[in-house]
Amino acid sequence: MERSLRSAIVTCLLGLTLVLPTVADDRDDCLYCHRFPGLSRYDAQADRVHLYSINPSYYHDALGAHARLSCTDCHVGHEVQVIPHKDVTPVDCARTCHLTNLSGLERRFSHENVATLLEQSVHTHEILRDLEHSENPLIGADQSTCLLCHDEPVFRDPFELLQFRGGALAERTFDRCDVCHSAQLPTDVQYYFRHVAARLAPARSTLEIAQNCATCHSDARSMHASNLPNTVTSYLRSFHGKAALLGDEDTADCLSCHVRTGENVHRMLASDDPRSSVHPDNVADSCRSTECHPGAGINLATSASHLDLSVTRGTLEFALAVAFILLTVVSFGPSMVIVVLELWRVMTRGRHGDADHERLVDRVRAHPLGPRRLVRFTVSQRIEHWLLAGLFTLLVLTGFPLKFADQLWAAWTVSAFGGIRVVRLLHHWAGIALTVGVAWHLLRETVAAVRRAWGPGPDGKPVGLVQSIFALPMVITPSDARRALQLVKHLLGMRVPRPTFGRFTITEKFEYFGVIWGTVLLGLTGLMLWGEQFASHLFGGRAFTLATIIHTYEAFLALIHVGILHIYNAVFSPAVFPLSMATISGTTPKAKLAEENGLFVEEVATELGISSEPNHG
Amino acid sequence: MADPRALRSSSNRTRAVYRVLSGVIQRVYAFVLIAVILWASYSAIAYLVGSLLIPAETPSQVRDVPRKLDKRALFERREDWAGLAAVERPRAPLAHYHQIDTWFQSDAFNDCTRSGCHSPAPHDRFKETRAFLNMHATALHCGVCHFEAGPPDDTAAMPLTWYDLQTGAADEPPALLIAYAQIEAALAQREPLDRAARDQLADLLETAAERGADPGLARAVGHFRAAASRADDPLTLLRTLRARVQRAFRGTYGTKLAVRSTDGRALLGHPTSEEAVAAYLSRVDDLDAAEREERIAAIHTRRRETPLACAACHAPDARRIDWEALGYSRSRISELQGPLLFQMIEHIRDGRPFVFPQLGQPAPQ
Repeated sequence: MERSLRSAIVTCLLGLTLVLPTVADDRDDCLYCHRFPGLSRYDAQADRVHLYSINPSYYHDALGAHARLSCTDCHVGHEVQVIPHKDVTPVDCARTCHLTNLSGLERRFSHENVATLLEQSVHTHEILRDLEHSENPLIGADQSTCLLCHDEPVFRDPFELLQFRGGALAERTFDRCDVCHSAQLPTDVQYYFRHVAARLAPARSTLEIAQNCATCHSDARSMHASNLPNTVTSYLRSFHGKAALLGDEDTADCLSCHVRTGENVHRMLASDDPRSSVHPDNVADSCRSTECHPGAGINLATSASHLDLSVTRGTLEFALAVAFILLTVVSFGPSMVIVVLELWRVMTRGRHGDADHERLVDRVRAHPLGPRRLVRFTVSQRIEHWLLAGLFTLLVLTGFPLKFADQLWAAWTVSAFGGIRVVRLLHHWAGIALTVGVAWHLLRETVAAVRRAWGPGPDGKPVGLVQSIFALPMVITPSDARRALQLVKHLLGMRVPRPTFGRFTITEKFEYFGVIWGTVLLGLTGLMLWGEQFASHLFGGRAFTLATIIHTYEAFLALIHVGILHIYNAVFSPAVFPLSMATISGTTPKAKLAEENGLFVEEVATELGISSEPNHG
Repeated sequence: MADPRALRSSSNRTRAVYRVLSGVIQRVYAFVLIAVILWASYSAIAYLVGSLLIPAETPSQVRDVPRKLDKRALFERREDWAGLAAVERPRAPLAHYHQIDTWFQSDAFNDCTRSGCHSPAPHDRFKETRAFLNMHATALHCGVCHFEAGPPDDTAAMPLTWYDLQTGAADEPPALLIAYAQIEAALAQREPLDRAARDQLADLLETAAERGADPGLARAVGHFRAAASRADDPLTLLRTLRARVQRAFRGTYGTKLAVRSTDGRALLGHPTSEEAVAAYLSRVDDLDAAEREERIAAIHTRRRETPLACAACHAPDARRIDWEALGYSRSRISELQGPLLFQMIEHIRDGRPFVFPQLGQPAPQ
């Protein structure tokens, strides 16, 4: 008996799950016609599709807060109960509707308070109604201005928001509700759970809010008519906006800053209103709210959250950006020109190489100690190189998607890494590892230089610090500079012989210097931006903006240097193609060794007692 | 024995050819590298300078979100709207409040719409009927009402067939209709389904869900599969399933009805060649009214003089469509030819307001 009763209850509940009726039902039977997807017409004159179809699942499966309403709660009954329907009056979202709760009691409900709040805000009904837009009219005269921001509200998936995994857990959550609420229909339980859970996160994603605001705040005609800056675009170029583009749900959206904590979003105030969250007197507290940057210094608020360099001409930020572009041109340009001139020479005259030095390389390599002595990079240097290469690649892959956040590949890369949080974590720790690595390298080289400075030179006297530093193999010496100039003259076709270099060429030394300089700059600015809450107590807000500019431009400079020139030198240069093994096995290709590191080969030959004189026999 | 001098000469020639070829390859390689390096360097510097001097554009993820339900939206599939894939639940375009879950089934084989002449929602003349007529485009090819087919009077059924929207080929009746008919039959006989029949029914409903019925149906089938084997009252379960399936009747079957040719194919257009249609479209603005009518008549060789009226199919005694042969169950036929629908049609035809009975209130005068 008991078993049958239990079975009957199970059957009944499962049956009800199939139908999902009552609270979410179509009381006016409008879905009889309106469930058909094609119920629509096209108004060619206004270029507007009138779509009368309703998604029945919204009501049957209680997908949103309005699923419990009947159609005539919003539409005027006597206008829509007649077929064909009469011309309808606009839906008044502030009218009172009647909701029936689970105990069958009717409750009156209205959005009237929202209308009141809007009238106190910068978005009054009058302003919204008179909006000019490139695609005018955005909404018909017979429609509510609420449509500018809202459509049918849909509950976001609570299981996704609460980061539950798998459908099984979701079902079990409802099972738990059933313990106490088994008398109610499954739909009721799910409806209330979703309704409450959906409120734990914003109704719309960060990007969707930007899309919404962009309707007016990035539309050329709206901005011109209302004298508005292109705030959504400048937001999307900021750190917050880029994170939003890459799917970060925790980053600040428009509402995070422009509505005070605890305030209703509909009461958004103009920035010059002393009560506004972004008024100069309040903006610091808005940034430092517990949800955003708790504990940050007051200065944080003066950093640029709507940064568009192209419209900030004449400022320090603009000047810094110009300086970095010049630096890029000055540092990248000459190296690029040398590479192009070398290739031009190959193209016009063919490749001849340095036959004398190539023969010398052969003779040195024939010596039992020769191959080892011709290794330009020690094992530890090769390990350092590949650690650096790995970290650099990781930093590029995790950093540049943020710089180019609006590109499809950026979203793809971020998603391949597992989301923006993982990307950010990897970027931070890869940056720390690189900075520590470079600091360790510098410390080691400095200690070695100091030790050498105090030690005896060839003449028995101390070498001295300056001489010791210049003796470091990667330091650019005056002789290097002279040879570089001679190389340019040679490549330009002037009658000077092609110079050759020592163990490291001027290009390699320059790249080494770039790594040190770049890591220091990127490391310092990166640390500052990462620890913004601490750093904001030490620096003014503009320092963050400047740090952002330095970080992004220096990173770009590093990328083009490595991506274009270093890859050319190590892979595509005719002297090393298809790949230089110098940093892998330690063996530099003969052609490159002879042409570019001739002095080094001569030096090794002298040490091994091999004559450097050309031997044509 | 080979002449050593000739051998040496041949070897020299080979070496010379190799040297020349190698030189050419080197030069081409250098040229390509120069081009790539200059292009990459120019792009990089141009980006830097441009980012500083040219005001930023709004990213497409935000700019291209559809703001209006306009012509673009009508002709393109919703999935193609830029930006929609980027967000969890895209908001409906402005001026449209209700969630849009699906629209017209994409029909790549309907010559009337794919020719560029007619939109998927072509009826616009009469306010009273235009949306209703467009609604039928979800499940019917234009030819069902507009092609000359079957006897001239209403005494016999037109030759019709379902056709697959993916291939355009004639197809069996939709899985949803077959499943519904099976449920009806089981309930009429008051016989619970055995395991094989239950599985077949669930498979059919899953196919229906995959082919375009609403996603809630798939969920319901899952529950049915789980519950059916242990239900003490399987007929009650079947009744609740029937109610759920009824809600899935939205015309989105993955197939559509079309006029059937004598060889069993679906007639999806007029025999007119695509070139003739294109030629007409290219000159349409230069033609006067008489010429246009003449050309249109020449293109629309299968056109009925007067399209079928609603009552031809929906009147209780209408015989234009052999619903049963097309897979419809008795109760579904009763709905499609029932008094409620027919009264509504009659009222609209006669210009009298029709009050939906469930609302229960007479229309105010």
